[in-house]
Amino acid sequence: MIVESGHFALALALALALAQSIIPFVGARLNDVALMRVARPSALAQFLLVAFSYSALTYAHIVSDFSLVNVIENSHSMKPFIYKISGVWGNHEGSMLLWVLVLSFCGALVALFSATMSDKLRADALSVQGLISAAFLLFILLTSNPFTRVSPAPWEGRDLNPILQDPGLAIHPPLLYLGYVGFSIVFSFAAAALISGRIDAAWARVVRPWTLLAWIALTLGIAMGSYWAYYTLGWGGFWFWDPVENASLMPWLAGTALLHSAAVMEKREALKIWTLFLSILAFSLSLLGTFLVRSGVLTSVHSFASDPERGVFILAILIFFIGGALALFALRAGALPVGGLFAPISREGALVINNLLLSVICATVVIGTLYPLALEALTGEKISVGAPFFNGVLMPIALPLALLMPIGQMLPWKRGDLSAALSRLRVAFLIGIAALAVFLASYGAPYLSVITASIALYLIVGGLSDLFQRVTVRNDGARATLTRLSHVPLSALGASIAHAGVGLTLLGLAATGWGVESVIAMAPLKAYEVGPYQLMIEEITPRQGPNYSEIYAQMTVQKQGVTLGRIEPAKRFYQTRKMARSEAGILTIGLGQVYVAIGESHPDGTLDARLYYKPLVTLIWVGALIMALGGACSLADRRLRIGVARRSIALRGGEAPT
Amino acid sequence: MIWIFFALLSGAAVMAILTPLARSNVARDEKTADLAFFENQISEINHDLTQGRLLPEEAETARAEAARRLLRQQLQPGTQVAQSRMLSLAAALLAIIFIPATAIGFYLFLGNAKLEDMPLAERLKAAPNPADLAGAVARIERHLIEHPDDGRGYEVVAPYLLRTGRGEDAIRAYAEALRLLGPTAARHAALGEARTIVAQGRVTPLAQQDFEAALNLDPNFAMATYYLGLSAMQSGSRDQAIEIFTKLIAQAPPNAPYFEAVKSQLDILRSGEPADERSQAIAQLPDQERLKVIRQMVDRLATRLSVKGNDAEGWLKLIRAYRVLSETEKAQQAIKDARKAFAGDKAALMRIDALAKDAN
Repeated sequence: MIVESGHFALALALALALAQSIIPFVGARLNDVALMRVARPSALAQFLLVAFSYSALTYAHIVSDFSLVNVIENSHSMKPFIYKISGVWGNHEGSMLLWVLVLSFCGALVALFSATMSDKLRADALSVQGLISAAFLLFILLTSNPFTRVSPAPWEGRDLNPILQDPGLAIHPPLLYLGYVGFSIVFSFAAAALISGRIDAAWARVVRPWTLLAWIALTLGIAMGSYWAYYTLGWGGFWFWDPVENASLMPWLAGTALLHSAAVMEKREALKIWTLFLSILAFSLSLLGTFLVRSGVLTSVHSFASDPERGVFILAILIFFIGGALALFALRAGALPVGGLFAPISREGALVINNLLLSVICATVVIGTLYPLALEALTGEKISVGAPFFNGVLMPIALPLALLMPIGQMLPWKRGDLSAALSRLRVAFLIGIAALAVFLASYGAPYLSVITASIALYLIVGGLSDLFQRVTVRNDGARATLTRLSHVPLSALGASIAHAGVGLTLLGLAATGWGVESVIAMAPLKAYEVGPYQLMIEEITPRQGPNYSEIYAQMTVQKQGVTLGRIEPAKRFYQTRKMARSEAGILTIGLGQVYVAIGESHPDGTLDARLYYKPLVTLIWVGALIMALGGACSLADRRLRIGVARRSIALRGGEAPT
Repeated sequence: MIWIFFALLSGAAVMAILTPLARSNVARDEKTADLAFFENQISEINHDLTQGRLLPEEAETARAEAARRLLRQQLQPGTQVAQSRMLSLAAALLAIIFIPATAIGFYLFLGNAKLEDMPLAERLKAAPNPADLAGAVARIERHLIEHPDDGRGYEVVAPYLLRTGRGEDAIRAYAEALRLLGPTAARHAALGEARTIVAQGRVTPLAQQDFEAALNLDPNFAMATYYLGLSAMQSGSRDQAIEIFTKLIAQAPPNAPYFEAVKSQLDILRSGEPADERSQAIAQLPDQERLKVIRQMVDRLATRLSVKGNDAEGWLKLIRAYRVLSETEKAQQAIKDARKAFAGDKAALMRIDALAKDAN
């Protein structure tokens, strides 16, 4: 009863999504207010139906209802409870349903919090949103139905892929989907603006929280995914330039550019075309990612499903939405009213360069991801485009971008003074150059690490300089300074924090060049050097988990005879799926980590192990968290903002509106 | 019952669309929205000014900028938004017909309204169906998780697990039964046999220990003796194997089920070809000869299965063999027989069906 009702609710949600995409759209064209108003309740009802359907599927997973193929294939009666819940989206069908759930949830939020919008904007945006929902609901019902049943039902399921039996699964996909779907809202608003030909500061104001929310979620989702891969795949790395990883990076890059353009759009009504284009691009790249992951073009941990029929369906969705939006863009973008003007050297000008560089980086990633796939499809030749290509091509673009970031922050709107901005950054420059000298002397090679780390330090200091100078503009005591700090607009605070976060991540990335790695057969009770530490296996023991058995090594990490901690790297074997996965042993010391992954054990008592010492490695993810925190600060800024040129007195005063 | 719920759900969905159509709405057109936005902006700037976040001249510039923008917006041609009864009626009619029809159409095509929910706990509680062997085993397995010291339970499920391809679980169950119920020759030998089957017919050192333990308790336990002979044969100790098999046949009662199997092994050994070179020898035969030998082997397998049908691996092997020999009819018959032998055993049936599907 519950399961079948969930199935029916899904079909009903499709009908409602179609109505939501047709009736308000017709209303907007015929200027009929009643028809336009249909958008709101239908978006809410659609969300309730999808939520009900999703709960029904979750219920089936929790009670191990093995009459559902989806439960048979991805669950086991003995699976820990938390993985029964997260397992709902640990498979193709369920994750698509979660996708649509998040989509309809965001649609409902737009419906609820759109009192300030004109009826037309809301109607157009929600009808585009309804069309996206309908496309994916149709996709789920026809090619990926999680409610398909069998009778008689078997008595046991085939368990969830062990790699997915991890708390990471509870966090990583929902965050990514929130990111992708957030961009779908921005996309809907962009399409609405193009349809009606109206785009202004009010539009940017509506879109801003969605851009930020999507960007924050995507930042956290990517960071989480990379940390998950780091501790569970046992190869010591955190980013492989795998097409599936790139699939999430591409919308992030476009989204980062979008975030900045939308801010300009809101404050200065400039960069309209950029903003619209990036809105379309961010969601298009999200769709491209979905296509790459779901179509069976790729094989990886993420491709639950390799079914050509699904691939063709998603490709059709992709072509329809991207093609439609770009056609609309080509037709209408030229006719949009001109926005605010600005001099080349100004905050806006710096952000145009930012958009250009980020777009180039994004295009590079797209090419690096698609080229091998296209080549294989055309000629059958398999080539691998990995770290050497991406690092080699992206670093020369990313590092100048990092150099420009604090300068852009220092430039005022409309017209700026480059030398004044540079002189405000002299501390950051000095620290960067000092760092370069120190790193060169202490580490020497690799030079890329030395240069990157110095730029990273400059970026952190430079990112915070603006904030520091605003607050300490006059030397009038701690109380006045604090008052000024509390008056700094949250969005400016957010920008400083997020830029510093980028610097931290960059520093963590640079430090990977100074890491130590060794692959050896370890004998018990014997100390092995890795970097400044000594590792020793005390005991190798088997252990039984709820649905797996494992062999784990108890190891101590010592420095000059002092034990700093213990780690238990393990190799797990999952009986039902007959699959093994490794569980890395990680000890965080300061900002660095000692990382051990174990492999086969030998008859002579030795154990194959990969030992790593990774200085500053945690900064990669700490930086991402701080970037997200900066985003959250900016999101919390509810002010209606307007950007004006600072006069030179105000510049010295430092208290400019942002 | 379920259809009443579906009807209610559809009704609620349609109502969501009808509400704004039935009401008279006051439009919020673009100019109103822009004006409201502008007013908010101005009050925001004034607020910032009183808070000291803006200098007076900056506030003035900001206000001027906001006013310029408003003016630009207001100059754009606006449209009159109204509400038409006819359009509302048309939309309402469309919603009333189209929404339930689409939902029910899709559901009838995809759904299974007659299937109830089947939570595992309830299925386990329900009265067992005597024909459903898989269900019975699932119940016992669940019972064993709560009562891990019930040796009888392990002993009952073990052969079933072995047959359905869950070899490792079967070994564990046999070992538990042995540990909990105490050693007997039969239990030791059954554990050894399970280990041998999981190792694809190779008598592993662990299995060898099991068979030796069985013989310690009962020196006349024929099955253990047979496997020790097989072990000797596999390790190349031909004379020892001949000795063991000869003794086994000598002691066997005349109608012993294993009599034929042991005898044929013995014949092969006595013919002087070392066992592991046998397949090589067959491969070197001329085509006709080789086919004949292979057919003989297949026939032997078929005969064995017709007597002792509960060997899933054997059946799969037989079906594959018939297929290789292009004996489609015999293959089909074997699939039928195998399905009969494993009626009620889901896992084995699935494997057989999977193989059967490969044929088409």
